[in-house]
Amino acid sequence: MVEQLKRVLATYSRPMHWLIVALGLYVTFEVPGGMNVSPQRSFAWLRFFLLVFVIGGGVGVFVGDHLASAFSPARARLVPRLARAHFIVVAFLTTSVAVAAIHIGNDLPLNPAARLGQAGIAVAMVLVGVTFTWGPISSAFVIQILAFLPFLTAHYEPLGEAIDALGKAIMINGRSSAVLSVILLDCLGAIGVVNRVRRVHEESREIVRAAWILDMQAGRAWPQRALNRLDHLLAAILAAPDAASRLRLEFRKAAVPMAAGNSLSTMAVVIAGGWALGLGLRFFGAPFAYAGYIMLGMFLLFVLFSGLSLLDWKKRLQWLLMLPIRRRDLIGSVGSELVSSCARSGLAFAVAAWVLQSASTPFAVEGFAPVWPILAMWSLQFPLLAFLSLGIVSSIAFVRVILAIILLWTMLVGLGMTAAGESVTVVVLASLIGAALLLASYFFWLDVEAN
Amino acid sequence: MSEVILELRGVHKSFGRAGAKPVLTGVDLAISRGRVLGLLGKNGAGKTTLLKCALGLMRMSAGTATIFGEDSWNLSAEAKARIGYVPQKLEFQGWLKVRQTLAYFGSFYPRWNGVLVELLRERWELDAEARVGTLSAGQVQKLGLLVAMGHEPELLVLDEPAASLDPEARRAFLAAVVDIAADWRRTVILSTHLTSDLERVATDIVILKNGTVFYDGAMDDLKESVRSLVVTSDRALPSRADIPGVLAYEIMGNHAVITLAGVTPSLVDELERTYKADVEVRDLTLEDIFVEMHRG
Repeated sequence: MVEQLKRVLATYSRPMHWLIVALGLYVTFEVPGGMNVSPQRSFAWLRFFLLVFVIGGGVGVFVGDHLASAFSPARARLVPRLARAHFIVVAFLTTSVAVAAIHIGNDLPLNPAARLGQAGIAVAMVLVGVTFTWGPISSAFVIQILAFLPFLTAHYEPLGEAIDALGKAIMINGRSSAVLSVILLDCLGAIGVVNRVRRVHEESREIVRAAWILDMQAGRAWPQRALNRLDHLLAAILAAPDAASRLRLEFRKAAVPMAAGNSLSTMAVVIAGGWALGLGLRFFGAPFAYAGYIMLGMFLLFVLFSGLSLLDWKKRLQWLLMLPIRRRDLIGSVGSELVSSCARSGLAFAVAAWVLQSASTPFAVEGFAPVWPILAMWSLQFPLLAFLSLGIVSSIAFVRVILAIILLWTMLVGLGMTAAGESVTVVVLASLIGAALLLASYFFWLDVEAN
Repeated sequence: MSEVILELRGVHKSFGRAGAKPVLTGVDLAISRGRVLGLLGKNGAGKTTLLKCALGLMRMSAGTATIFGEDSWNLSAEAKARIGYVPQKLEFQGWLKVRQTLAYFGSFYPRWNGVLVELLRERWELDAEARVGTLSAGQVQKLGLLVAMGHEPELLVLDEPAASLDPEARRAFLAAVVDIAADWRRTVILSTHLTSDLERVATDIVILKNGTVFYDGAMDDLKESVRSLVVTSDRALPSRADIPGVLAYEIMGNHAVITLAGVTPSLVDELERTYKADVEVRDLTLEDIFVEMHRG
């Protein structure tokens, strides 16, 4: 064990590694300052979120990666994508400790739903044997951050007081005992995962599953049901009356991760899932006040994925632009498909969120929830999609980073205004700004080059 | 004079901030119907960029490009239906079978020759039921060629099409190109490093060098014009050859090898007289010519 820990430390021999560690340390000291602000100040929110991203994405992933590579057996490391599922889980757990520590400082009970959601994702990743891409990692952290959103309505204290509060939480404040147990669970989980990484080999279940997913991605191991569905889809594509319709259908399959064509079933699944979560939480005696917002947060994540699928689409542009369809018709039909699919699915999520807000379980109707906050979150998808689209169409990395920061800021302003009871303004502004930006992105796409 | 299918005038293309990296610096080119044009150039010479600018896939920094008389950037659906293109990097949907991929692309074209596609597919031994995601690079290349050739385009643009093919498949592919080119209405542009392939099928050659067209003419004219002269004399030969059109000059005492463009019988006679030498004229392969052209 000592040797392995030495190997972990030895991996920090390169300047870049120290730079990342330094960044992590900077973040550790900067976070309290970032949090000691009124949540109404959107710039402070943005700063806070960026810092959380750095903690999660930078330090957590980095540490997890090193743990996985140092502790896994040499032979097992030859297996393609070995231990990446574990590495993600380790990253999760280490980040969770950091984020939980921050929240303890505010003497707030951690949102059990968020914790449950996190644990669920972590377990799912191990079971499915998720393959490593930035997508799952970033999405996981987005979920985590969205899940923590409700806490941002509170006032954060500096780290000194946080430490005091931690002491109180452990020694006195029975209300925060749940937080302590979460941290302990995270630590135990991290130890368990590292232990598993040490023992993993080619025949381990998660590695076999990861290999199966790789095969499936390469088209070698598609389940028959999925193939039948794809055959039906192809038949529908081929039966489409014109080139634009065919491209729309093909893009819907490739780009939109949710059942965009069947919004009712999406809505039913989300409500059922929310109620199951609510019942589970109720069983443990935990409140479930934010179910609707979490579901909408998940929806925004889906929008994110849909938007990001434009990346894949852009790669195939050199084929698509040579198909017998005018450039403007091609861009217009695919763009409108993306927006309308997301809008439809968003509506399904919004209705589901409203139902969950009104009745956290089928047996606990708590009156009709206000509609405007949910509509506000639904409308935020339009600027989100537009910024993603603009970022992807741009070939300049700097522009992409700037757009990502503006996007994050816009979302935070929107969510902050929603939390502050200005939902109607958010709906109007998000719709108008979203429409204008989507139109602008359409014109940028018209000028896109197929590299 | 035959109809010009593709025309480029003063094409400039730069990359980077404020055009810091110029790739094409004034390309003029007119390609007539019925030609099989081989596009040659070193790595990074701008062949792919030129083809993409010509097809409207890349915006030119300056200049004009037209295909079938239409602006390349704004080609109509009808004009695009007359073009087939195989890019260097092929991206297909991995979940589709070969048969389905062909059906998908075929559905976009009013004139899709399923019989030709099936014939070529069988000749190239491409399994119709195989998932695209399981195909090797060479097989994907074959699929790309089928997709580009299925609608029997009047203009077929192939960017490094045979790079991933095995010798047998390459031969079959070249035979297919010859078949296509046999129809006088068709024009083929073939960008490749494989000069032996071009020698088999190309009627015309364009050589790109330093961002411009270094040579544009018939293959036969090029091979007729660029030759090596092996000069053997009793006396010492000069260290520099003061002859117009010299591409390369190698001297070893009384023995020299001069590669030049524009070899004529009178020039050979003049060399024999001046240096009291025996001059042997040697034909060059396209690869030799290409190498010599880039040596100077």
